[in-house]
Amino acid sequence: MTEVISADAPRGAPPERDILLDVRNLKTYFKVLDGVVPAVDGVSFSLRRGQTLGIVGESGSGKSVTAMTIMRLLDIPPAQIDPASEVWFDGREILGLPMDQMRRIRGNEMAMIFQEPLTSLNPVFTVGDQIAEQVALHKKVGKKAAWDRAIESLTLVGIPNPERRVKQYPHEMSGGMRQRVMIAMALSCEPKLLIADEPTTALDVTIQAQILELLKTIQQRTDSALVLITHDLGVVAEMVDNVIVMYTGEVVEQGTVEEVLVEPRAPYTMGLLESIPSVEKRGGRLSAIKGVVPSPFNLPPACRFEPRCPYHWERCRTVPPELYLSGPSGRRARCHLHTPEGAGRWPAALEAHRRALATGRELPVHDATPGDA
Amino acid sequence: MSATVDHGLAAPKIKGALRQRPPRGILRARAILYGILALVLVTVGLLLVVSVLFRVKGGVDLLVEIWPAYIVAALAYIAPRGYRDRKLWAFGLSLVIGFVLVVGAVVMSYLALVPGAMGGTAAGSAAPGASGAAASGAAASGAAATGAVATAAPAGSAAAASPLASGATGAATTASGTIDGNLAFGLITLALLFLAFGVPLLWGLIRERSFFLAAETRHPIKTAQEIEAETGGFAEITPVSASGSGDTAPALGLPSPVAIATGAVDPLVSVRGLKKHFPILGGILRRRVGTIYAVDGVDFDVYPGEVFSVVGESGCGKTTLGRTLLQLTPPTDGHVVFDGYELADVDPDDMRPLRRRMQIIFQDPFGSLNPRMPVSDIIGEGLLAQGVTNRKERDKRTGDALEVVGLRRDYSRRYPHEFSGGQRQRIGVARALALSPDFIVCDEPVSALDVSIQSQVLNLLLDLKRDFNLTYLFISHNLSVVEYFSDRIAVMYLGKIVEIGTVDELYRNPRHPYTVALLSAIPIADPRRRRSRLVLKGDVPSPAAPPSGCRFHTRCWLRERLGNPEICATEDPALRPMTGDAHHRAACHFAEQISESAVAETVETQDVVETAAAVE
Amino acid sequence: MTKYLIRRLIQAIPVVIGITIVTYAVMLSAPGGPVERFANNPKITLAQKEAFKKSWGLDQPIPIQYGRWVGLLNPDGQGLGQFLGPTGWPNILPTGISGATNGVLHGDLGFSLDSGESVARRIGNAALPTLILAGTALLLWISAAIVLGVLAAVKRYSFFDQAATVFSYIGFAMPTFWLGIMLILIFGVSLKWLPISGMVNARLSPAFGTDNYWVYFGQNPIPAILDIAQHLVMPVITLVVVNIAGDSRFVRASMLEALSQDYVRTARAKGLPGRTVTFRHALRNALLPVVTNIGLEIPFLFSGALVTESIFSWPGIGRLTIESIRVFDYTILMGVFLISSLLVVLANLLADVLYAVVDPRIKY
Repeated sequence: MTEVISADAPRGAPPERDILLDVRNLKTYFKVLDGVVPAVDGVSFSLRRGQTLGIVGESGSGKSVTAMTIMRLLDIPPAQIDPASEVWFDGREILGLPMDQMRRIRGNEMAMIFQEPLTSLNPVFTVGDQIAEQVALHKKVGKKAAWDRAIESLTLVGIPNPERRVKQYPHEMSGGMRQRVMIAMALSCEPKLLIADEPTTALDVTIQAQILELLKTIQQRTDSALVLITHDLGVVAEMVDNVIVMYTGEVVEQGTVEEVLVEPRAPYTMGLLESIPSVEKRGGRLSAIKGVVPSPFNLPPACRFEPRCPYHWERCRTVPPELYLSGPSGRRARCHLHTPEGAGRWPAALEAHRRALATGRELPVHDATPGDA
Repeated sequence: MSATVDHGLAAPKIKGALRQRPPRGILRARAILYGILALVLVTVGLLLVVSVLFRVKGGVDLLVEIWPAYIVAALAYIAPRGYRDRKLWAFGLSLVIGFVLVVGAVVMSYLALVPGAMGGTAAGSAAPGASGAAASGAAASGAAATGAVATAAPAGSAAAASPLASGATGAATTASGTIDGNLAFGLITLALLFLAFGVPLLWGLIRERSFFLAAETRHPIKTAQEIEAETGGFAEITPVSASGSGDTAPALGLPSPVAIATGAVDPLVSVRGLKKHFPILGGILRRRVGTIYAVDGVDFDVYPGEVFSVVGESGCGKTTLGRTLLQLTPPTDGHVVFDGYELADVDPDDMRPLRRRMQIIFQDPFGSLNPRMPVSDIIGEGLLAQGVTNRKERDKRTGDALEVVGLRRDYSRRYPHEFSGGQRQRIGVARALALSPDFIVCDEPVSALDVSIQSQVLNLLLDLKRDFNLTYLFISHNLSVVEYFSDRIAVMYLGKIVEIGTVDELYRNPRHPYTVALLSAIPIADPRRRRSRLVLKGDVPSPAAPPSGCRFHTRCWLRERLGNPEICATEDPALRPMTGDAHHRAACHFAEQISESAVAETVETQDVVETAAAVE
Repeated sequence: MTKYLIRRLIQAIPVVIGITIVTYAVMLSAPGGPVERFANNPKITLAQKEAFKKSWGLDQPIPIQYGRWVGLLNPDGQGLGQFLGPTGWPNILPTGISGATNGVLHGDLGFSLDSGESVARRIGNAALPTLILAGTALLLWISAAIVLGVLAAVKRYSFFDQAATVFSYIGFAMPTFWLGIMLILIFGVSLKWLPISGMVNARLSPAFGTDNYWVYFGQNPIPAILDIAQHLVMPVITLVVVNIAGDSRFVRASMLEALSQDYVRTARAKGLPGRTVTFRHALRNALLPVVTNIGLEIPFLFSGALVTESIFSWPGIGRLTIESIRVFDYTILMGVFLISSLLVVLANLLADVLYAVVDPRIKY
């Protein structure tokens, strides 16, 4: 349970004032029995005040670990943060902050909402207790004031009868209610940054709609920035301004949500979009990304998506791709198709993608490659 | 239960019924008879062991002495043989056993309670019947007690009753002619034991006598063998060559609407008035204090070759529906007709040939495979149950099934933890497929998978459907998947179907306010189509206390818009056909009031912060 | 909750009846019998043995013996009259109504075959020393186990955790009699720091539990308490060392599980200091199963520790049991077994009720 020790490496200069969160070359490793897992492997992004950022990826892509690293919630060891990584929050570098200062930021200026609202709330305390505890800690107010604040936040997230609900235990509430409580808790200290890790994955469709609309409304009302972590491209499309797509710990594409979801530039994003079932593809086969996510102990040498990529050529097996500029507005994609060497192949790839989107792509019937080589 | 008229579906054609599971009283009678048999066997065994190990004098004589018990045990073994076929002789035999027990109990009570009944010579040799019965019963009650050590009292009484009794407890009778207290106690205990077996046995038999006396049903009763013969046994599946798909359009096997309407195609599965209620127990005596109406009166047909989807939120009963339909849990009420055979309430032994043809794929690829079984056993288990006892034959079929789902043959020796989520789901598919079924219930087969893996599994399911002529009942909460995957859809809410129709009808022209809200809630991965949603208020009410009238009225946006008409809260709307398409049905009093402008206006006026405020 | 309690109590009735039957049956089927105590005494003739049996009522049929022991039957009655007490009401009713005084139901556990004293009195005399010894030990080992377990979980894999593990297993593996004798040898015989047996110093005070003792206790309370405390040290150490292992491992496992829960992560995300997270959020949840475990250990307060009490000659229930076994004192053994079994039933009930009190999720 030792917390991260301040890194001695020299830190870069703070970002401009308008940027609330600036993550630079973040690397988080896990040392386990079988070796080292590079869960987050050189992730950089920045977020302006009041904006929303979506982090998209499948399980094992490192999106949750990124959030946990920013919040500094990981146990060190087994986790290990590269000393050269930097996270600037509101003008401060927070990876090197002493733990007691970090705690003053956590829950106060930066708050997090988790996926599973049932297990994320402590079953033996009333929801009022759990919210008031946080308010009393950060706002240095009395018990009564903190309790009033708890009721106020429950009202804010639209919980009916907050005076009664505040005295209830989590198990006495429905899933949607509990997630509202989690949001109320996160908002109780009026944070500048809200990180929501799969906030609606465990919920039903109609409740998911409620929670997403609520997050949107509240974010506009309080003007806090939002990082939304999800595997659901639909949720991202409706909620965020900018998006980064992660695969095996790396960012493979970044840009505005319109750019990334309408005109994806990385083959992985293209594949994800193609594999979404839709009514247009009825009667045809869904195009699927073949194979499975590689084991973190046995990553491909250069491009990590190469074994599953329909557009790969020999360069993909030898030269690790970087995040190349792939559009006029500064959007980037980690693919050799956007280098001079690959530019010739891009139009064909784009054409194939468009066709797959429209009709579904014919792939060999039994496209499951065994998980082990 | 008679088929209700208002579901508007034709009565299913029935080829035959299956043998019914005997009623509870008969099942209990069977259990009691086997209990008697077991008790006698255990007693004899114990006596043998004790007399051999401890060289107890007279132990073997005692074994001879209790000969009436052997006769009763033999009868108890024979009688249940005739139960399944409702043989009258079995009924009579069981009655005889019951009477013997009760009469024996009465005789023993008389001997024990009335002074002098046993006579002065009781110690030497009692009437053979009585002493024999007493001895056998004594031994039986001895076995019933917790262990050999705790049986001192009845065993003592047995010893007293036997002519070879030693002086351990003194003389069996006193000078005055009243019998020894220990013997009386033993006799009374035995009599009670006899009564405890005999009375429920007789009671159950007499109450359920109609089971034996009137064995007629409306449909001819078929046995497992007959059904097997009719359906042509169970074929091997052969892997289709991987290149074979090409660009042949996957045939959506849905029969034309005309064929359905004119009844030219018989449904593969017909569900009529299906109900599944779970009791809530509570109170001091664990009485039933409430009921969860998980599935509450559902009617639909599934036609051969189609994908019929059931969508709804958690708690709407869709999973229970799938399991009840397959008779994995017995339904509370209603009928399921599969390929012309009535399934409800059948004897599990006769279900085997039909069960093979109806398989299920579960949601959780991690929880549904036994982690301590190799894949060959996971898949082979079903084959074994279907009578493929040859190990080699089983391994061959297992390998075939693995190949068909795109896994390697030699994976069969591995254990589930060695596979990824997508591969495990393929194993689940292979397990179902190995039995060459006609009908597969897919219970959220892709919900636990990542998007890229999800599409692999969906493709696989579609390929298999085409290659093996499968029919799916696809259960899901994901409306995008359902839209892509299915031919017809039923939307469930709190145990009832609220709307049913073809995909096109249902998605283009939804006629139930709940369907409208569900469709509006799907997040679409296209930021250009970013829009405001129609957000429903509150949570799904508890299925233990469904709202009166229309079950959706507490959350209904349409009702609110129409000024909360009374009828919604008082009258349960029928699932009625919508104009234009007789197969599109919706259960809403005001289905005709739904229009795009109504939806748009509602979206504009809603307040998201208030959406939690449904009727609590 | 009240309903649940009532239901559990009703359910307990057949269990208790079963316990009396089993207790009786076990005693009955044990080899020998009450008269075996004279087996090595050549002066007692067979006829005398039969006379003893008759005077103890052992010549009666077994159900009647049982009925008298339980208090269902009146030993002075005849025929059906046996069911009636002296006042003419059924014998089974409380003494106030039926006038009956015999049987377990009326608080009469019979007389010791060895000393002739009332069983209830013998057990009562032994219960207080056992309560003192077992209570002290239980209190100490549970609190120590919680502290050890929690610290080991919080500092998982640290030196402290490893050391606690090793210590636990050594204690777990050590035979009680060996540890007790070693303690006596070292601290009693060699170093002469502590008294090696008994509960009080026989030279200074009357035997514990006698009327004289209480007079002495009233006059010199502080030396009397110190005297007992001195005698307590070694048996308590023995019990704590042997028993701490299981409980501290249990607490550690439970705490580790609690620490890995999502709500602990939430608590940390709220910015709470590590102390608050551990001791407010995790510990409270970790102790829920521990409470049940403690509830189940309560019967130990009565039944005591056979071996430890014998080694240190502690005049408690454990030693009483062993001695009664040696002299075939059936009535006392039956009394001890009966009370212990009843306490187990009650402790189970108590554990369930406690769980509902501490865990808001449990509603009966």
